[in-house]
Amino acid sequence: MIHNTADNLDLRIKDHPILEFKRNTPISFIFNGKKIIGYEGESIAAALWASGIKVFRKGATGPEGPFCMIGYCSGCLVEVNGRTHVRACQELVRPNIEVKSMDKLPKPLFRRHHLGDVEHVDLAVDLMVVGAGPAGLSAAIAAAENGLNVVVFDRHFRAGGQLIKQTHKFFGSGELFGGKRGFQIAGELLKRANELGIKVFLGTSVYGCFKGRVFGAVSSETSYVVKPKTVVVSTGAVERTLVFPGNTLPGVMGAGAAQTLMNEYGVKPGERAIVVGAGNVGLIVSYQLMQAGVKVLAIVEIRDEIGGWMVHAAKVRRIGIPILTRHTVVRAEGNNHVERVVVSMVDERYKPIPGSEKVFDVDLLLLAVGLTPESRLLAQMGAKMVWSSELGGYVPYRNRFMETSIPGVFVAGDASGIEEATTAILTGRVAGLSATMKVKGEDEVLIRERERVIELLEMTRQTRFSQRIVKGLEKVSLNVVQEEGIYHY
Amino acid sequence: MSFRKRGYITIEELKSLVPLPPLERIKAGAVAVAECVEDIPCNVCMTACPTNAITVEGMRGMPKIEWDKCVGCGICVGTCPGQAIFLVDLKGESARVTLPYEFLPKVKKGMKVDLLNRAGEKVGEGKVVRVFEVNKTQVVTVEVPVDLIWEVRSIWVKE
Repeated sequence: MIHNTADNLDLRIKDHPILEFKRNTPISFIFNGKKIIGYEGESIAAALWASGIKVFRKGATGPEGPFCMIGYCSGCLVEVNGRTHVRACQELVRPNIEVKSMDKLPKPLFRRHHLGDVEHVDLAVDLMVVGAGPAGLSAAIAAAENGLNVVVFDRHFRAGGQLIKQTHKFFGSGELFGGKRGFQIAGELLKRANELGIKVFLGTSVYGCFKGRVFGAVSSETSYVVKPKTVVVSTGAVERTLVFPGNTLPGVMGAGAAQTLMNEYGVKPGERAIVVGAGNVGLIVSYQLMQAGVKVLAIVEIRDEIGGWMVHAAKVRRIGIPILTRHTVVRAEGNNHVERVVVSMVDERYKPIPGSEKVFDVDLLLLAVGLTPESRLLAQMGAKMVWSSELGGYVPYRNRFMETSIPGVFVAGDASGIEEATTAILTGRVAGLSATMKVKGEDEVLIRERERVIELLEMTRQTRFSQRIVKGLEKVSLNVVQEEGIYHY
Repeated sequence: MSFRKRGYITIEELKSLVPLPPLERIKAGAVAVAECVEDIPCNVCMTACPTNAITVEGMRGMPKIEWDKCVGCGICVGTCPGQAIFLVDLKGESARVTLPYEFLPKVKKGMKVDLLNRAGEKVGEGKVVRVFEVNKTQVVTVEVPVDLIWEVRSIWVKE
């Protein structure tokens, strides 16, 4: 089944078993000379995909489309009203804007003109949190509850990070929001942040740290110079890709990108899908695709067994989705977007076995093959970084209070190592409490509370699936002793 | 092949890992069975159970269900984040399984639905005899052939 770009094509989901999509005012804009209808609150990328447009530009190797949908990849770069290098996934639709493909990326990436007409604002705060996902919001809440003046920045125009696209109920206990759906947890965190008067600047990227530990942040209207006493970096993670012929075809995307389309915007990412990776992300996204009315033909897993919890696998198996272990994707084919996916069995060394290929007619190929921590801001600040394959990549050294090698600078959530939302919330709380004590001095009540949260964190990491993470944490944790402001490693 | 390769647990594997309610108990009315055999850091079912029939030690999954305390209300079925709790019921002439359902079209009482086993294979058709919702999860009780109460674990509504 192939989507054309017929004028009336609309891939928006009207009814969903879990989510409600309210669409108020239609907004029309132009893409490459063609009129497109979007709705208030949609990103340009979501509106284009909903209209059947999968090819965002002609790249070096052929047509390209969005891969990550959270502002990291270059698959959705467009020009908006003459402004180049705009990520269509991070830009709201606005009436009558003129959007164009960026088929040829202009040479030097000078973006100075972006800052031409913006307003300049100076901010001095107790705590600056970078990233408004579960970790960042939890850090901000813990600090604001204890009297800190907190600001939060997030590059996306909606807060809540990846939680807002999680429709499944979370494991845990009551305190850890167990039994609540991801988007409901995001709602509760945001409500609490609002009650506490935490300022959340959305659509605003923190782009760097400068001399005197001053930070620059920018939105399309405002440029901020932030001087925080403490910092929590909770910038999340980026989805990984795989190397195979056809991996840049539109319709090949990260599992999270599909979640963004279908669960944040209510746009069907495709009609028929193959999902690569039977970890929790691959299993959960497959279930969510079926809820959104997308048929999942198979989950492909290169290893001998599934990586995620059996209960998540059981949910997709019992609605008829096969899990092909010891299989991998060998290529994606199609003219302007994915039309076929070829998978193959692999041998003991994970090499495809010739002759074992299976061909699936699908228009969507989702990669759920792991994430990499996004902690470049910390690296730029000069925090000591370390490679941990267990935690997914380069992460900052930190002590058990989530403080990095830079005093007063903390890390939380996936930016500190790939885990999941519950541990993100807990590491966020630890970082927020630590920041509080950095500003206001040590406090017995807060120390006790922080120890309690650390205990909860250790408890959630007692499962057999956390063994790798615990091993990774041993490599990246420091026993930092502070004596008169000097850190000994 | 173990459940970690297959993606679901067989009834034989389940029996070898956790005690299942005896026939007399199932004949007395609906009782909860948890197909939750890994150490998931979760105790949502314990908190949700109105009769305190479920215990989870130290947030490590693998709930223990006291069959005498369980009244077969099905709240745990709709609450379990892993959708791993089911009710089995052999009271009277017919047999019933209660399971979670989160797809469209929504299920209504009296509907005929396809009965699926753990591998997603159709094993029969059954009538829906009870439906209620827990936070948007439909808790659906379907009539099943007596010999299939340990097999039917999903339904699909024909559009």
